[in-house]
Amino acid sequence: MKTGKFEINVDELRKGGVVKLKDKDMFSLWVRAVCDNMDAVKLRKVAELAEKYAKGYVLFSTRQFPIIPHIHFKDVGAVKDELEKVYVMLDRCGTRVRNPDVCYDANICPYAVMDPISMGEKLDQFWRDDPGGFKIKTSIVGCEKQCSSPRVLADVGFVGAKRSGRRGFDAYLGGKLGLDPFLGIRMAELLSEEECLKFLRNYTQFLRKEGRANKKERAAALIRRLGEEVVRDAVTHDLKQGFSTTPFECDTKQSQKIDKSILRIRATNGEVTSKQVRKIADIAEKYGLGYVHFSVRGGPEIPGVDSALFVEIAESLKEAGLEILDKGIDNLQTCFGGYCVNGNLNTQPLLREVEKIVKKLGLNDLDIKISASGCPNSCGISHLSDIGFMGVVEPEVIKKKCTGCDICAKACRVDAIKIENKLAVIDLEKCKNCDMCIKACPFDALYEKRQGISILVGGRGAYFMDDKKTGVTLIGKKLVDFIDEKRALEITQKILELAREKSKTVAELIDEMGIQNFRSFVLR
Amino acid sequence: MEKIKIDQNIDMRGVSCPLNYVKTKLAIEELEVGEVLAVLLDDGEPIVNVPRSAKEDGHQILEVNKIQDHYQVLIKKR
Repeated sequence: MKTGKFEINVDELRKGGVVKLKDKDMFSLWVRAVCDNMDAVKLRKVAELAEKYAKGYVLFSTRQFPIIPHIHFKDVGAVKDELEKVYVMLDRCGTRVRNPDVCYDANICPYAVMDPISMGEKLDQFWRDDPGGFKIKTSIVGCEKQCSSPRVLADVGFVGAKRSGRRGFDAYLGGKLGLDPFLGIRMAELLSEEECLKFLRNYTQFLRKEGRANKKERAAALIRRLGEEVVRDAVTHDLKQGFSTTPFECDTKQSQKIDKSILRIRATNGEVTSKQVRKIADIAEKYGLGYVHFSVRGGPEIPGVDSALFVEIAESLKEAGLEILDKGIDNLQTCFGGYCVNGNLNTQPLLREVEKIVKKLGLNDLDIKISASGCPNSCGISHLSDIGFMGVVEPEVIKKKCTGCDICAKACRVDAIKIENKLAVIDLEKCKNCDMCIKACPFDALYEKRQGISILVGGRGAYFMDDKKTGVTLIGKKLVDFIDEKRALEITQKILELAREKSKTVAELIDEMGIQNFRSFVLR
Repeated sequence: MEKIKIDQNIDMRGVSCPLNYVKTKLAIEELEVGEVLAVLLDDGEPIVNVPRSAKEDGHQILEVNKIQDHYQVLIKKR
């Protein structure tokens, strides 16, 4: 399609992976990472394109693939063409199936009970030609430590497990964060790969038959609306029949056991400059297996590194302003934050301030996770962190501007808006303060009555360090709402001081003190 | 209400996000400032997203009309 200003191939956009940002005509490109890994050659290409067409940095996202933010509308086609030269496609977004997420190769991770990569290759093929229309996230982990949190970060989560001498994948259904988080329910146990695929086939057929596409229904909504038992019957029938597919080969798959370490690198806000990306690619080639793994919390990981060389590598990383992510506070992660079209909060500068507090307090021995999301959709997994920030807004209707067109009610994901006598009426009890109604209103008939930061506490996606808590996933509880950044930082400092004093995670502190006492202590 | 003069029509029914927005945007590019584009959009995600994006690009939404199972949106280029 050609116009006076632009020439673009609109077909480029049909498959998704191109997401609009807040700045006019600016998009982000979601770069696909098969099995959440990417080799050094592809990674360098991503770095080069970020420099050539965008702002010279890449976002390592909670969805475990790199994103190039700030690409102008007219350059989308060119970037996509250049990526294809190194056999890289775009990931999918919107109401489409997402590429499956995995933790680590069973040949790399000593804890793996099942091989997530083998399953991931099959899922990749399974989803390849999905027609879209429904959002479906899938995630596979090799053991019950559940490093990539499939019980909450995926509609369908397969968790490698071993019980009474048998191994297989437990299948969880319904996981999601967002406005109404849902912890996936275990629907079937110890499935083979073929049975997992049959489970998934059952689910997709059921979703297409029963799901309300206009309501963007996902597994959690089906379970809530139809009841657990109805859904269980639908997804577990005839599992024994199995379903098979030719796997799409993951080019970073390891054929032999590798008894080495995984080097993790700090990337605050998931942001890594092109120069840093090239350094990481170099290190992966020189010291590792030639590829990088994308973790949920955004810190890039280089598997297959001899830990005796960590000191030498740390020196090399320093040249690019990078450091190893060791014990202590995990990578400070966020979503698009300030540049997302839905963002209500500049999460990036907030987390930079939090980072200063962390450094000042010297919290090196605590297993604590902190993240921030620009809005309650929680793409920055705020619900799964010891301390999770979210930008929140309270909407109000300007009666004389409202035409009763109903678009705000459609934009509302929690049915908090009704049109009565051609006027939008908001139920603030139901409202989750996401601001979608205000942004969607074509006539500016809604405005932000209140705006601020909400803090969630005590969430936990996975317990890696503590074997007693294997398999536990906790959704954070709301501590406080509509506060400003200064107050948010004061509270954060208070929580971290308490965690340091007692040497406990926030979830443990809440367990010990009770949420009421914890709240009154840290808000004092 | 006075009838608004429509300068251009596009039918974005059956076109998914963000393609419907991009095509709408390209159609707006073709207009002169002050001219009006009428876009047909599906219910669901398109009717929530496309007018919003046009608004964020600085254009004015004049009307949103429900027609059976879809919508007609009138956008004035600014």
